[in-house]
Amino acid sequence: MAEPRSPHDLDLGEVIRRCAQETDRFFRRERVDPRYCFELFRRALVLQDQGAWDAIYVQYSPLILNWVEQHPSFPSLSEEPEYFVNRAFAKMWSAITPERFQEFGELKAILRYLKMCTGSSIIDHLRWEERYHQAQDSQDIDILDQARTSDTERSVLDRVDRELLRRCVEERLHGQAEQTVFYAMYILGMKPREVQKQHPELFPKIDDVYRVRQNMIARLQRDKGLRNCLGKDA
Amino acid sequence: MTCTFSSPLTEQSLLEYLDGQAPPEVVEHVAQCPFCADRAAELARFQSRLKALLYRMECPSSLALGEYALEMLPPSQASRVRAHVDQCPHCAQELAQMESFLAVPLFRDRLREGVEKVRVLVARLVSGFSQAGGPQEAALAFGGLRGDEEEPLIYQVNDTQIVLEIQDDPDHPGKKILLGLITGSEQPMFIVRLQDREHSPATAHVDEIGNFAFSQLHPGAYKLVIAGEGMEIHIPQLRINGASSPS
Ligand SMILES: [Zn+2]
Ligand SMILES: [Zn+2]
Repeated sequence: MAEPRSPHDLDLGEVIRRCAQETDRFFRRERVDPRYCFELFRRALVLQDQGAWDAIYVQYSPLILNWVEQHPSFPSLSEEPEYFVNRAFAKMWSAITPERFQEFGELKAILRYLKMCTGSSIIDHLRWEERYHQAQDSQDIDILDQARTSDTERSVLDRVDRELLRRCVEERLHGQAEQTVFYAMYILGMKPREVQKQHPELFPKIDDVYRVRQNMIARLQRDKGLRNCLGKDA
Repeated sequence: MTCTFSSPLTEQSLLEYLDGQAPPEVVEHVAQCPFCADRAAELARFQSRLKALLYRMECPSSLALGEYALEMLPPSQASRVRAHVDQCPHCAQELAQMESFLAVPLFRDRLREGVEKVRVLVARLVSGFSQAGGPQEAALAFGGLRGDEEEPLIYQVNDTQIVLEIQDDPDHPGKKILLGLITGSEQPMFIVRLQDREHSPATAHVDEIGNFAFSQLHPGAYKLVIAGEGMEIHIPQLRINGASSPS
């Protein structure tokens, strides 16, 4: 049996109270016992205790808000900081399964992971926003909205569809120059000038990149099979 | 509908137009010719659809990048992420940003004392003038003219000294790397931010001995911000010139 005051043996209310107390001590620069807050995370993530989750939300939302505000991209974010708090918790919730919890030996490791989830939700938002601004018409925006709502990670189905389309295009490419242009410009999103600089052996001049792309796009655009892969009104 | 002009624009011209790289006569043509404007719009739609579906499809999820930064990925997955980051400029930037974000301590004084004011200091160039011929112009003209060995730029603010060196990026022809060293600072500096007008800011993390580095820099005018606890050191104007061909 553990010692009487082991966090394991306390009821949830007591764990919550002590975690809050220890956090206050931390901010007063006093010695801190991190076991109670760690126990709170254990109950939330391993035992999946809703009460523990609610307490974590109350206890740690201000910290996440602070992280969001520290983030170098914060001034340009179009969502309220609270949006990222919710996304960060949701990411942590789905990423740290009860089995995986053992990887986290201490409170600090969990908080570091939570901070990473905060950064990750900001990256997701920036990725989405970049593509949204590139999108030209409503069907493209629908595609993006689906990708955004298909939860934290891209859904398996979404990935399979993209793979199919990619194969559909790659079967129609002629030679290494076209493959390079297609990969660098449409998958990696590089500019013609960057492609030329990275592959001077294939494209001695920037016009060579345009010429290869012109042939490729003209042919792909006329291709009925490919247009089926892309959706009706492409 | 037919072309208003004697001959319709070629597809190459239309693609240049869509990239904002076309000469004025092409822009003029599209503006005055509904036929070619329609063709441009159709090409744009087609490319947009391809990009909406394929753009960054190979990029690891942001969570995978984050777990990579935390060294939590199994080795095989980590080496896949590394290989991708090495060739994908977007992920390289996201990873650098994630790393510097994680390098800031979990708890900062801000939380303890409410929102504090950040003290901004501007660093002064104290050495590296000869590169340019005069203190005012010094930073502006810096950067390998004719590929000469470059003299480091030394900036000073209070007791803190910042040494900057700009070199060709060996892995990315036409681009530059910026190496920095911060010494004499009475408090630790965490993050360096490098901004220009065209690109989103790059960030780098300052290591224990004060080194930081940026790679794949486009030539241009930058602002450099070094951030520490409650204070920032600014270098408002830093010119990184292209070494090889004038653009
Ligand atoms: Zn025309
Ligand atoms: Zn990528």
